[in-house]
Amino acid sequence: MLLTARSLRVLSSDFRLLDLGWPAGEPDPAPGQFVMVRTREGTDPLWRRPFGVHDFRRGRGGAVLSLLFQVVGPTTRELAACGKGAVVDVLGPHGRGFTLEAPEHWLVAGGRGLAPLYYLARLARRAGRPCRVFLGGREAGHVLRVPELERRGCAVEVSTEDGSRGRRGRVTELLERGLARASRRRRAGILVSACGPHGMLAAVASVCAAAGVRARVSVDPLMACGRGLCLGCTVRAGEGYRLACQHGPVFDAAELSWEAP
Amino acid sequence: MTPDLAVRLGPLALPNPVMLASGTCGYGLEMAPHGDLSALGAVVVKGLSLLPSPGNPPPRIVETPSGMLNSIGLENVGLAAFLAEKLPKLRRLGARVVVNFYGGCRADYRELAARLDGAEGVHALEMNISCPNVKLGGLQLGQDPREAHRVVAAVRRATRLPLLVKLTPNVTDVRVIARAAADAGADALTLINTLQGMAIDVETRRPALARTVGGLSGPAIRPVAVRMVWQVRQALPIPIVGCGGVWTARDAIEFLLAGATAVQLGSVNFTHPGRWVEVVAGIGEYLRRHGVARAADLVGKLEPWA
Repeated sequence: MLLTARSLRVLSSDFRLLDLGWPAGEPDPAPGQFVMVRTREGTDPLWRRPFGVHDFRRGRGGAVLSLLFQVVGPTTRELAACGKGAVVDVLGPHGRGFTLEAPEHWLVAGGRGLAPLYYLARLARRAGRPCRVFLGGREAGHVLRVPELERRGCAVEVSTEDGSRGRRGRVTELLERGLARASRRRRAGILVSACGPHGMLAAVASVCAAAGVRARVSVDPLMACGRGLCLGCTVRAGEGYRLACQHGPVFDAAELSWEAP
Repeated sequence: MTPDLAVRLGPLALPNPVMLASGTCGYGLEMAPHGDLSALGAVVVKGLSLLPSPGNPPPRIVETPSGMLNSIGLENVGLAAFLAEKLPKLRRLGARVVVNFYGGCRADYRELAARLDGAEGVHALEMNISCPNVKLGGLQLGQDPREAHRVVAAVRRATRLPLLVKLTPNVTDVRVIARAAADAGADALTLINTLQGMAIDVETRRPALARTVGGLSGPAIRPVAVRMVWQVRQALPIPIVGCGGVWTARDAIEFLLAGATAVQLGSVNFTHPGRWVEVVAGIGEYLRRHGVARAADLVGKLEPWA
C-alpha cells in the first residue's frame, strides 16, 4: 500500500523520525511488529527493508504510523529525503510483537533498537504499568527520545560507550545493576523487552537468566520478504531454526541460542 | 480482440503462461492474499523431500546488485505434511499445482514421484536436479548427463503426471543436460535454477553466507537465463519454462520470444507479492498492441539480425 508522508523530524545527525498516514480500514499494528518498505522503482536495492513500528496513533486527522531510522543505506537515505506528501510503498504490519501483560516493563534499547520499543513503552504507560527504559548508544547522538519517554512517565537511564552522555559503558551494565537492586519479589513481576545488536541481546538474555527475570528480544536478521516466503531470516532456537518474520521478530530470550553467529 | 493466453507444456494445459517459481511462494497458500490463485498459470510449490528438512544454518541470504544469494538448503515440511495439510487448501483455492521435489538418491526421486502420482489436485511435477545448496542429489545429478538421464527415466516410469525437469545453469553447455532430460521422458524443461555465487562481508572478512557459496537469483541472472532458453530452443523441440529474474511483463515477453512457452516468477515475489497479476495483464496488453492472437504464437518469435 502507498502511504503519504506527514512529517519528517531530524532527531540527531543520522537519526530521523518519519510520520506516515495509515489508510482507513487497515488494522492497527501491535508493538514489536514491522513493516516492509520500498522507496523506489527498479531492482537495486532488490528487497524491501524491514522497519519496526516506532509508534502508531489514531486521531481526528486519521491514523499515523511513525518510523524511526538511522540513515545507513539507499532506502534510509531516500526516506530521509521524504518531504510532506512524499509517497512510500509499505507492506505489513508483519510478525509477532511484544506482550503487555506484565505488571512492570523494563526496556533495553541499543541505538536504533529503540525503534520498536517506544510504542511498547507508550502503551505500557497508558495501561498504567511502571516502565523503566535503559537507553544505550555508541555516542550521545545515538541516545534518542529521552524527553518524550520521561514525559510519558518512564524512568530513563542512559549509557554511552564513549561516555558522551549518561554513564560510560554498555547498556546491559545498567540493566544488571538495576536487577541486582530489585527485590526477588519485584523481579518476578518484571518483563524485560530488548532490541539492539546481537551482542547486546545475548547479554540481556544472560543477565536476565541469571537474575531469574523473563526477557523478550526483537531480532533483526537480513530479510528478503518479511512474510515467510524466502525462509532467509532464520535464527537458531534450541536444536532448530525459527523464522524472524513469522515466529518473531520478538522471541522469548530463553528460546533462542546465543552462541556467536 | 481478446488474446488467448492459454499455453501447453506437453500434456499440461495452462490458462496463461505465468507461474510462480518453487521456493519463492511458499506452498502457494501464502500468496492467496495477493491475488486469485485460480487466475495464475500455475503455482510451483516449495521443493519437497520425503522427510521434513530443516535447511541450512544462518545466515542464509544476502542481497547483491539486482540479485540475491541464498543457501536455504531446501527447507520443507516433507511430503506427508504437504499432502495432509497444504494440498487440500490449495485445491479449494482453485490453483493449478505443480509440485517441485528432490531426493538424495534415485530411489527417493522415484518414491516421491510415485506417491505424488495419486494425489488429488497435483497437476504436474517439477524435478529439481539442480539445487546448489544441498549435499546429496541436486547439482551433481544436474551436471552429469548420464546421471540426469537415469534419474529422469526412473521418475518417468513412476508417474503419469506431466513432468518438468528444472536444470542448473552451472554447466558448460546446458543443451547436453537438456537433451538427456528430454530423451529420458521429460515433458518440459525449466530453465534456469540459480547460478552459483559468493559474497564476502569485508568488515568481518567472512563469507556472507554460512555455507560460503549460494545460489544467485533475481534480475542479475536474467540475461543468462534468456540465453540458455534460446540455446535450448534452437537445439530441441521440448517446451521450456523460462525462469530467472522476471520482474515485469516485459521480462516475461523476453523469455517467450527467446523460446519459452511459460515463465516462472521467483525473487520478485519477495518484493512485489502480487506482481503476477500485473504480468498476466501485461502479456495480454502486449499481444493486443502487437496484434498477436495467442500467447503461444509469440513463443520463439525472435527476429534474427539479417
